[in-house]
Amino acid sequence: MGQGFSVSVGKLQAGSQEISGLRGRCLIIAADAVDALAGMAGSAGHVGLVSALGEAESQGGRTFSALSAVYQHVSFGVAVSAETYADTERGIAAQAGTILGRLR
Amino acid sequence: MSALTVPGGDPEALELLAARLEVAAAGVADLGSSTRQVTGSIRSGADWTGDAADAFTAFTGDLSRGAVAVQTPLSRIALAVRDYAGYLRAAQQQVMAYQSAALAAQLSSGDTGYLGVAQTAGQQAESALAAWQAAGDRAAAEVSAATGQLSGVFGSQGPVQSWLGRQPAQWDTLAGLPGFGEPVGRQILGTPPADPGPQILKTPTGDFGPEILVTPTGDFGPEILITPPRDLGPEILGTPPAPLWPLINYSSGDGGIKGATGSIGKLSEDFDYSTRDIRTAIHTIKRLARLPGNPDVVVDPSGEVYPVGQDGLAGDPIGNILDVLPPQ
Repeated sequence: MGQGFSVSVGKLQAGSQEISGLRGRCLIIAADAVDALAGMAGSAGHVGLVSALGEAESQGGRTFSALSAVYQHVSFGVAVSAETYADTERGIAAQAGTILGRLR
Repeated sequence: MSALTVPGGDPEALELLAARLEVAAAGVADLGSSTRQVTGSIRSGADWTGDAADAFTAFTGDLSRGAVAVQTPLSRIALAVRDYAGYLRAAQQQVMAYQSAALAAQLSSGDTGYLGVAQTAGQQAESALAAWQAAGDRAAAEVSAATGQLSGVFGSQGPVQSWLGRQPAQWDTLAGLPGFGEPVGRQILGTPPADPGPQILKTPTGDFGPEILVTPTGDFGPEILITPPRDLGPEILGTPPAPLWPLINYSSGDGGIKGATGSIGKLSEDFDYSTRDIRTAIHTIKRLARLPGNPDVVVDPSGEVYPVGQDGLAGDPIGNILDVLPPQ
């Protein structure tokens, strides 16, 4: 941990992976849901319902895709944040080393 | 005797699919709860405080609510379809019963007993068909209403909706889910052409994909980058921890991307950042993308970073430097 820092970079890095895991779950659920909607449209046998289910399938795909993209965005943001904190921490350590060297 | 046709459709399949959709609905609600827990524990576990941490909480809270909100319309569709399946089954059975009775009456050469049975079966079948038609209309209306709900799970405002609205490309295609506008069943979760199918579900370590890297400046991502708690001053933050340049190759051409360049000097001018900032941003993008072989890169006028292959052509974007550059 660098001077003045309280953020745990390791926790943020691990958190990014956890959010990636949530995205994986999201994709699996999405596959099931969209598959089910598509199957319903193919088995309904009623013109109006087939059409409505087709639209639900399309919208379901878009909604889950958005969810997935947002999870990925969060995962990326946390990873970048961890990276930045880590870089800053290393910069502080280097700076401190330079200052201490001058004091000798 | 009127000619009644057995309505098409598969009630058993509909019931099974409705059950499957219910499971998915429960799963997405659980996902939303897990999201709240996980993101809360990330913040508390990392002792993360300040504006960036607050923005993270606001954004992920919105995400959690959005995920939970998907449950209701999916359950609504499942319920409507299950209800409809009952009417469909009844109509199919009644029409088949009528057809059998009508055939028996025909074979009986006018036996009034058979004719009476057939007439009664015919009335029941017509009634069942009318009920089926009405149930289908009701279910269609219910499914359409639920579809409307599905389109607004993040509300009209809020950080997630705002972020989605700012994406320069459609997030569903960017997310590796082809089929925007017309997603086609299983294909909606299919993989980009060059990818092996099932891997899309694995979320490989460090694979952030091209879609996430399009965040415009000003979103919560960059905010996170700018606010280390107890900021020790720009001269410290501006010091790269190690020489970065050997890690980065820059392409001399444009990789076939209009307006793209690999020149750090030009990028520095174009984006009004120091060459060090540009270099650090590209380095961060490359490290996060974990591309094999440390390829050359070019950056287009919107900040998208593209790896350049040995053929000199740019591949898919791996990120946007505006996402990782500090605010000015």
